[in-house]
This record gives sequence, C-alpha cells and structure tokens, in this order.
Amino acid sequence: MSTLSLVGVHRRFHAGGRVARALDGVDLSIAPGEIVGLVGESGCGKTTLTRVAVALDRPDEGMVLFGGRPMVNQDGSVDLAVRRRIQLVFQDSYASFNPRRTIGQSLAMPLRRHGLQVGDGRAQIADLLEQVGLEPGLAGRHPHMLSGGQLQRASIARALALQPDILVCDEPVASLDVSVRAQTLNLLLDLWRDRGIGILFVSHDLGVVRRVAQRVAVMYLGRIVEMGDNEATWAAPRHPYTRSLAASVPTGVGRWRIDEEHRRLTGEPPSTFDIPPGCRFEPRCPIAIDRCRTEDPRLRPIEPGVHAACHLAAPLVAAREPVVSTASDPVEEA
Amino acid sequence: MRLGGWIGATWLLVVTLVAIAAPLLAPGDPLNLVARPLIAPFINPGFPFGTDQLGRDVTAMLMHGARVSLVVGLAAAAGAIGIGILVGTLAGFLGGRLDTTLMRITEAFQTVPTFILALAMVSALGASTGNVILAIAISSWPATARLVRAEVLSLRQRDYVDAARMAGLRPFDIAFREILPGALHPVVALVGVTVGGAILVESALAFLGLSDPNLVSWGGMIANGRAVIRTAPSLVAIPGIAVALTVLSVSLVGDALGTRLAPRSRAYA
Amino acid sequence: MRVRFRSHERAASDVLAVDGIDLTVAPGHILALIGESGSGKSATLLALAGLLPQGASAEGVVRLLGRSILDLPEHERALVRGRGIGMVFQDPGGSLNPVVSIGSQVDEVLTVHRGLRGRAARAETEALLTRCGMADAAHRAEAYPHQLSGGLKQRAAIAAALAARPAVLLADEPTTALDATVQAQILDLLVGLVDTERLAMLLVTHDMAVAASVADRIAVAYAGRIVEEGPSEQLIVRPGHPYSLALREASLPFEVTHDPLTRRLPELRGRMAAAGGTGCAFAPRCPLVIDRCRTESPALLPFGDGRVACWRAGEAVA
Repeated sequence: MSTLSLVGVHRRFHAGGRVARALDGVDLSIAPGEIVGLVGESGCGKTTLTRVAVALDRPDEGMVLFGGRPMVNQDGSVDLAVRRRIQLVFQDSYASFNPRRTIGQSLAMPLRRHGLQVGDGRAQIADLLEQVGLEPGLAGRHPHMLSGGQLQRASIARALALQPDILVCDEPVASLDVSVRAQTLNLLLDLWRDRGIGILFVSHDLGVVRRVAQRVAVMYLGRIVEMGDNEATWAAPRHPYTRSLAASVPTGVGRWRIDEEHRRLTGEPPSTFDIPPGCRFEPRCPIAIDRCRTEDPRLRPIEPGVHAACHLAAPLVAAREPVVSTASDPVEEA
Repeated sequence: MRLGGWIGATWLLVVTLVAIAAPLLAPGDPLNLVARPLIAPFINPGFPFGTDQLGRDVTAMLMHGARVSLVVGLAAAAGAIGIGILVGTLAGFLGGRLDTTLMRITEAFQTVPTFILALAMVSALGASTGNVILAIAISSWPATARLVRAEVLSLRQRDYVDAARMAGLRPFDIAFREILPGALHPVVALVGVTVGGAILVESALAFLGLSDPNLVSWGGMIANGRAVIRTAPSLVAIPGIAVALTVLSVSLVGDALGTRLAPRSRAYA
Repeated sequence: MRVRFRSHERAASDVLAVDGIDLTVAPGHILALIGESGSGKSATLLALAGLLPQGASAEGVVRLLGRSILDLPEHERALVRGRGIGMVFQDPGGSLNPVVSIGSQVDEVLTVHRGLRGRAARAETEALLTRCGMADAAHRAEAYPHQLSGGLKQRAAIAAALAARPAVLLADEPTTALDATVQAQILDLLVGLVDTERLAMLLVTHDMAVAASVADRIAVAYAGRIVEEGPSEQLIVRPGHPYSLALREASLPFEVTHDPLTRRLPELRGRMAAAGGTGCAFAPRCPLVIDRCRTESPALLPFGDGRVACWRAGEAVA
C-alpha cells in the first residue's frame, strides 16, 4: 500500500485572456489507513484537486506522486497498475454511470479492463454489491431505476472493485437525504476499517467532515490554509478563515447569535482570476495587518501536527482557546 | 411509434418487396419495347401504368427502378453516415488541431451544394451506379459529422466518461464504446433525411442522364417523360409520386425512430 | 397577524403530498418546517403561496390576517401573494428574471403593489437592497442576475419579496445552494428582518441545525404530516418523536456523536413511506415501534410546550 502525495501542485485555467489559478501551490498527502478531510467553499479548488489527485487532470507545475513515483508518465498516460490503486467516488453518482448500461455492466468494466474478471463476472459483481449493502439483483437494472442512495453505494462498489489503496470521495453524501447520509458514511467507514485504505474525503459540508475525518485540510482560493488533526483544528482554529468557517456552521439552539461576531467576513468571496498579492485571505480577514498585504504566508507548522498559512498564527500558550474569541484582537506572536 | 412512422414503414415495406421481387413480377429487361407506345395508365390490365413513348412498360420500369433508387439511396446514405460518424467522433473526442482540421474539411465539403458536388464527381468519374453512390456519399457526410461531433463534445464532459478513464479504458475504447453509442440518437433522425436526399440526388442525376444508362431508375423515367409531358403527364407523374412517397416515408420512419430511441431520462421523485 | 392553515393536498394522478398539516406562525417569529424529500414540505409552501402546478389542488383552511385565502380566485390570490405573502426560493437565480436588472425587478414589485413609480420606486429599491445587506446598492441595482454571486442574488430575491411589505415570508431552503459563509450571512439577514419588520416567517429546510439555530419553533414533517412541533429548545434537547431524534443525530454537525472506536454514526434505515397510509408512516423504520403503531395513526397530542404524534412520545430520549 502506498501513499498518494501532491507536491507543489499548480493548475491554471485560461478563459478569455485571463488566468484562473485553481490550484496555486498545494501540498497534500494521503497515506493508507488514514482519512483526510478536505473542506472549502465553492471556487476554492477542491474539485480540481480531486481530479489532479486521481490523474484525470494534469498539474501545470508540481507533481502527483504515488509511492514516491510520478503517477503520470512522460507521455501523459497512466500505467494500468497505478490507475487501479487510486479510485474516485464521484459527486454526482447518477451522472457517473453510463445510462445505457446496466449497473452490472458498469461494474464489470474495470474488472474486465484489468483482467480481473472471472468467467462472466456475475459472481464477482454480486459479491461487490453485497459488500456495499445492495441486493445482487440490482446488477441487471439501469441507473435511472435506482435511488440516489443506492447509486452512491453502487458508485462506491465500482471504486472498490479494483481494491485500490486510496479512495478519493468528492462530496459523496451531498446529494443524499439527511437520514441516508449516515448509512453511506458508515459504509465508507466500515470499508476503511476493514481494508486499511486511505480516504480523501472532500466536502463543503463541515459537519460531515468533522465526523468522519482524522486529519482535515481547509482550502481557500487554491491553497491549503490550515491543516491538522480534525478535532484540534475545529476546537481551536489557527487561521482566521477556518475560524469564520467554523462559526458559520449552525451549531444548535441559541449559539447562533453568539457566533455572529466571528462570522463577519466582509465582502464577497473573490474569484481565482483575481487572487490578491500577499495573503489571499487578506481582503476579507478581520485581523489582517500590513504584512498580510505584501507577504504571502506559506503553510508552516505552528505546533506538532498543526499547520497554518497565516502570519499571525501562533502556538497555543496555555489552555485551549474557545472558538468564541474576540476577532478584533490579533493573536500575539510568540 | 407514431402513426406517421407506421404509414412510412408500410410504404417502404411495399417498395422493398416490389424491388426484391421485380425480376419475378416483371421478368425481362424493363427497357425492352413491349407494346404500343403511349398506352394510358389504368386502362389496360396488362399494363396497369401504361407505356411510354417508346412502348416500354411503365409498371416494369417502375418496379425495376425501385431497385436502383433503394440500393443507391441506402448505400449512399450508409456511406455518408459512416464517414460522418467516424469524422465526427474523432473530431469531437480528440479535439485540438485534429478537430480544427477535420472541421475545416467538413466545412469545405458543406459549402458546395450536395448536388453540384455529386454532379461534378460523376461527370469526372463516369456514370456508373458505383460512382453515383460514392459521389452522393462524399457530398452528404458533413451534416452527420457535425451532429455527431456536437453530441460527442457534450458527452465527453460527462462523469461516466471520467469513470471509464478511472477504470483504465483506453481513449479509443472510450470514444467508440462509451461515447459514440450515446451520440447516435440524433443521427437516427438524420438517417431519414440522408436517405431521402440520396434518393433525390440519384433521381436528379438520372434525370440529367448521368446515371448508369443500362439501368432504369425513377429519375430517368422522369427525364424520359419530360418530352411528352403535355400529352402523357402520367409518365412524369407516376415516377415522381413514387420518389416523393418513398422519400417522405423514409423521413417519417427516421423521425419516429429518432423519437423512440431518445435516451431515457430519470424521473425525480 | 397570524397565518393558520390546515390543508390537505392532492397532486395530479392523485398522489397525496400533504395529509393534514396544522401550523401557526406569529409575527416576529420564525417557524422552521423540517423534512426530507417526500415529506411534503415544499408542497405545503407552494400551496400556501398559491403556486401549485396545474393538476394539483389544496383543501383545507389557510387564514392570513384573519382572512381565508385558499379559496380565492386567482387574481385576488396574486395580490395576496405579493402583499400578504412574500416568497424566497432555493435557487437564487431561478426566481429572478435573467433579462431584467435586479433593480428593475424590485421596482416592478413596488409599482404593482405599492403604486410607486420612477424615481420614487428606485429610491425605495435602493433602500431595500441596502437593508438586505447589499453594499453600493445604487450601482448593484443596474446589474443583471448572472453578474451576481449566489449570495447577492439571494439578497436581491429577498428584497423583491419584501418590497410589497408582506406580513408573511415563506422561504424554501433559501440557503441550501449557498456556501457556508454566505449561508450564515443570509440567515443573519433573515433573522434581522423578521425582527425589524415584524414578519412571520415560515422557513422550510432539511437541515435541522439551521432550524435549531434561527427558528423559534420547529415543526417536523414526515410523509405529508406533522409528527412533532414545538419550541426549538425543547425539540432539539428533548425530541418527543423518534424521527426528530434521528434527524437531530444526523444533522447537528459539531456535536460528534459517533462511536469513538468505529467512528460509526447512528443510522436510520429504510425510506420514507408515501403519505396517506394506515397507521403511523414512520412505523417501518421506527426503533420504538409497537403493534398499535401499524394500525392506528397517532394524532398530534400535547407534549410539553408543543405537540407530538407518537404513541410512545418522549420515550426516544432516554
């Protein structure tokens, strides 16, 4: 089992003479056996990151390594043996199945391509479906006959058919009803536990990520601005964006109005076409100082296991800081 | 299938059966002189559609002519659509410079009217059935190519194409096995138009005397009847109606099939 | 000012979407209607606004400011729709006309419902947009919907909904399509408006966390009926209905309730039944189900400061 690493990844998109810096220097690794959550709002680049991570897209700069070696060959192709070990669960499970094929046919496709199909594959497919809690009979149905929850499971089954080391999940429960989400998440967790695979769980839904991830990375405008242990990061965020994000999530009765101060982000989210010089969060940051306008902070270790890209992030001094702290006082540099 | 589709299919079935059975129903060379010239239609039971000014049996010519029209129409359309699908799929899937080049070529062919191009080719290559089929095929493929390319471009973005890439499928497999089948449904509607157009072009070429002189075709019959149109309009009208009905039927069937084969969409609860 | 309604509803091919819902919203208060797909929550809103599609019908009583509105003829209903009831939809772009500037759209509402024209209308439009949190309103008013972000579009939609000074604001998942930070801003805005304008707001959402955070009272819908209704505090802390509890477990994000060893989350199996069956619709999935549940449909009975429709109300929370 190998680790998937993104090193210094840049990905730019050109449109009408302008350049969108969708990924602007991203370092991220997922090792087998760990669940890494990636959160960010729309436009932060997380979808682009998932595509680059599974070699559906190539970075303009930087490398994507698997087991220390580049995933994509010089000529742009990806070795079959490498393809097999990193798989993707798509955001829209319905769109990810060819409407003209039955679920069974779609599941058989990767098996056949990799020479893993035994006989007509029916037994294997039945087994795969059972592993994700679906009746084997669904193999004969077309995608439009399955519910969202079932399709999502089928999508997971297909991703697991090749027994990958790493699973990248792009918003796997976003389109599901609340009561179905738990089932799907539990399924992923069970599979994770039984097989020791590494999971990159990408979502805009902080609550879901909070409950599932061990490590979490927060993205903003193409960069990871904070990364660390899941619980620790949400209990005491170091980056002002993370703090805002955490405070924006409705948490329960009565706390909403208390968190209002924390939420106050001025202005609209900028686009990746116009990333400001210096810190990209500076225009909306409640605690920005002069240095933030000129110097782009890199993601650096603040404490063991905690990384943040902020000039004002510092190690915790004594007891844990509460989430509700006054945003107007900059944190003292140690 | 809608009513139009059934009507069209019925007519086509009749024409096909007649075309196949022509040698039995009207043995001998239809261009033989067999009777008194200009017998009016619907009078003589031996010659239901009468005879032309040279004494040839219109009924026999009609039946044998069906063969030429159908064979040329279908073969030419098959060629046009085949080329169109190939070009469209490659251009849409591969993109980049190949796409641009193929599209420029397509446009070049499209700017020349189908008939003129076919005319030029047959004039240059000679008036045989094979050349006529080739000429029509080459002048008719652009429409299919553009349609297929457009569908392929849109389907290429779909997630299930990415899923196929994740499964390790090679580009060629993805283009022709995952994308192309989904891109074909609008082409079915185009089949009707293409076959109909091919039959019309063949008739026009025959009318101008550019078809195989040894074979009788409906277009040739119309050309022949032109000389005596005042006195025996049926010589033009009857093959003309045959062409019109056949083209219309092909159109109706193509349309009905296109509607039927449109992709199923998911009903959201 | 009160909106009270008790309605049944039938869509085309006789699918029962709403099977007797009973709600009241008072001015200056927010009632959240929570439900998943199939619960009838959207149909309820549409019925209230008089926006049901062709073939669907609503029965029952809906009272706005003491006046029954469900049976009004369409032209009168249209007036009620603007002046009495304002509506905000889930898709911010969808409710705005793409070929008209947002300023003009708000102007139009002002013209139709408040008789304002020209400069007077535009001045009021700018005031409204500003009140809805749009900076530089005069400039923004000239913009077309596609030039605005999701958050700004929703602000414009809210301004248009408020332009006619309605008594009631209906909001159908107004923040679901927005990013977390923008969602927070819009919810803040709505809460603020309810306070200052003394609106009665009915907020439909699938997210219990949102409901818990901004609503005074919450009603939980399941298979076309209300299964629990009460003050937010009570419903969240001590849900009376097992479904409410399940929703809470699944929704409230920052209270991590998974098993620390397996990280598994509490699950709710099965799918929502269709409305209108016999017995309790939740019975097939209910952890507390008894025989009576399958045969007798429980009525909404008083429970603390609210109501619950369950034969074993209150037993779900230990």
